[in-house]
Amino acid sequence: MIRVIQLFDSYPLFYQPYIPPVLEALQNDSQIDLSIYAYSGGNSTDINAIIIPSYYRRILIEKAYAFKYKGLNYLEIQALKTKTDIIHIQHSFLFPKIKNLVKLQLENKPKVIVTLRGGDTYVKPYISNKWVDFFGSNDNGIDAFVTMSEHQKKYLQKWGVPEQKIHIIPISFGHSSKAKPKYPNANKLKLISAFRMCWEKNIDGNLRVAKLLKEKGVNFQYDIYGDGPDKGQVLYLIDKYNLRDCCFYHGKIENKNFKLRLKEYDILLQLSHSESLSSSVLEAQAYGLPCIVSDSGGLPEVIINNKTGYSVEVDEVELAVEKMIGLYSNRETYFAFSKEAISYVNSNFTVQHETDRLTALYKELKNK
Amino acid sequence: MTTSKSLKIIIFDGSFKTTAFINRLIVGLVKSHQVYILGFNENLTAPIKGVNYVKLGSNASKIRFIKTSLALAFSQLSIKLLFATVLHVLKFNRTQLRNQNFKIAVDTINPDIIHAQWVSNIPILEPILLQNSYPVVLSQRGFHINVRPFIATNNLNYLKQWLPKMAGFHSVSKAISLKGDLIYSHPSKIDHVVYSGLNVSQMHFKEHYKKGSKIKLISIGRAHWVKGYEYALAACSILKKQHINFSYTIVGAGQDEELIYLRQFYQLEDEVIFLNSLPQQDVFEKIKGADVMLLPSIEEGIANVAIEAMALGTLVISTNCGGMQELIEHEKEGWIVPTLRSASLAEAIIDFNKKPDTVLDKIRYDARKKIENKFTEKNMLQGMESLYIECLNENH
Repeated sequence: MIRVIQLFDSYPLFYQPYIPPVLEALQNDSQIDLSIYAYSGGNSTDINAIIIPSYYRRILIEKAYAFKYKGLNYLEIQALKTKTDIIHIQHSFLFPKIKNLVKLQLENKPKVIVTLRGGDTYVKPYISNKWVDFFGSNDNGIDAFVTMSEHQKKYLQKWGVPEQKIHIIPISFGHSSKAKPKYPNANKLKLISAFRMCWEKNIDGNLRVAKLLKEKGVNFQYDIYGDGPDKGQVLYLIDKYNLRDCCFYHGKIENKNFKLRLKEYDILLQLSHSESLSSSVLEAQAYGLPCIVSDSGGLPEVIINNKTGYSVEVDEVELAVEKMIGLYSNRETYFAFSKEAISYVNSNFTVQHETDRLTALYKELKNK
Repeated sequence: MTTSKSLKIIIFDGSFKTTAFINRLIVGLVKSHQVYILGFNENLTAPIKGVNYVKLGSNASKIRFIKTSLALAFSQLSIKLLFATVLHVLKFNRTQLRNQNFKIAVDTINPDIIHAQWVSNIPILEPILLQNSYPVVLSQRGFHINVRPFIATNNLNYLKQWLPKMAGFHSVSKAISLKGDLIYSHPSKIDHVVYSGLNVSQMHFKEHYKKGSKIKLISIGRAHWVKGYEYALAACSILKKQHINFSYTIVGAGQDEELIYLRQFYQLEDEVIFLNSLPQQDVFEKIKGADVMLLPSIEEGIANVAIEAMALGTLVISTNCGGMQELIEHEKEGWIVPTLRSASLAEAIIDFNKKPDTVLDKIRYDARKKIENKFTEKNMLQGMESLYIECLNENH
């Protein structure tokens, strides 16, 4: 039995809907004793998360245990008390929460894993030296980093993290897809994007695709889902590019509703500037939608180029449109892409794949 | 002067520390009028001489805010008001207290006119607009007029409800006046286009200019998608690919994630630097030290930094956003390129680089002349006074 704590800033998570099914699977795994700790949130899901007490209550608890666990904070005390084998930090900026523990000279102290999302690797080190120091330090106490893609793994090494410490565990889209391959809509190309409305997603680039489609006279509808700080830019550019008749911004959508709607669409578009891996691209393929993505970060690894979708350079709007029209107008090619897309994600990105990889990592670290 | 009558004018933008261009208006107005600035501040390091600053309570300190609120309520010698204020204080109903403080201050001053500087000031003006107790002039500038109402239906509906209650409008450009008309238009609407004005004699023109081997580009302003810096950086990438020697400084972008990311993405670490906001005099020095000011914005009213650059003798390459074409005639007083097009920005920079110094000098002098003719403090004051008078005449 491996005792694992997964640590979140808050739980449940609106923007990371791919996490709860994995946690559920881990909790059902007889080899794993999983506890979920979070600094805020509630128990609105099936998974019971332990909400860490407020600051002053933590101080009281820490004082009560001061004799036995001198200098340790609440979380660290809990980890030692419960003889935890692995602390898995899911929101990477929480790494200072175990800084006392990693410095302890204990034989059986918990091993520490930090999962890194795209921003942690591609953006934050440019903004703050704290991250450069953290990644570059040999004694940061982190036993393993989890990245989403091969690209992210390579990029992380640029900041000084040794290759052997980095483990690629891509996110999953859910349980194996039973969807059937499909043909495209006959009368109108139905295009979809779903992402957080922020600069990384290249809002302008995605809308330029729509602009060019319109200029080429393609009969299409482009639906955009997601919320975020730059949603104003979406609405502004839809108006600016004169796309009000074919582009529709719908705002935030629950993941289950997004999945239900996916089957109505033909192609998912995501031309991000920076991305470790995209859950939307996985989910779309699980419903048989070919995807057109930029070659940023780990995005090209989520598809098979020329088989389940196309990967283009982030500013290659013309090429994206050309590939899109080509795919949409050739029904048999589209069907083959659709079939291959379902097969590809079922073979690589199910909850089972992710939990197997996680369990293997936990075992490896425990036995170290 | 368009009027010999001294007016009692409240200038309101929410703060004592108004922006540089509002300050310039105040400096001019205070020479002939009683000017009051109401702000949610307690102190100001460099007050404008002759201006009456009225504290509405501190935004920074809860205790000082409560003290000011109670003092203002007490000054009205009304038991009912004092009791209501104490209740608001006990509940710490900040919005109610802010609105009440503002209303008390305005009633105490009893102004001829209130000039609200931003659309975002409207909520606090609502009781005054409802009672129609004082004429309110609203400045139409920036994002709140040319973007927000057109991307947020609730905001558009809000403005449709409140703009008709304004006595008049000051538009910073003809373009923004037209945008304002899309929100509210009426045959009797008073709307004056009054350009931002400079005291040109204090803006020392760079007489001697010689292009160096490296093009020094500069932009001034916060990082926000509407400023279009992503297109400027993409333009820089084009320049680099063409082996053009340049540097690009963005003052005010600070540590913006997107820009820092794009800088490394385009491999522009050696060419591009981002600075935090600077005091105005330092900004002017930076502008004077540059060859070209880039204005890659998607939307603007008329960018004051471009007016300043032209007055100082620095060439401007701007997108054709908002009212920028009213400021710059393409290839005569600078360059105007389409918005959202990095290639066009790059082409304009390349065009600048190809032009001999004599041609560039002609553009610089023509740009300065444009400012001296149309964007002066005198014009601004006359325009604003004329607007106030027309509103007052209509109101009576």
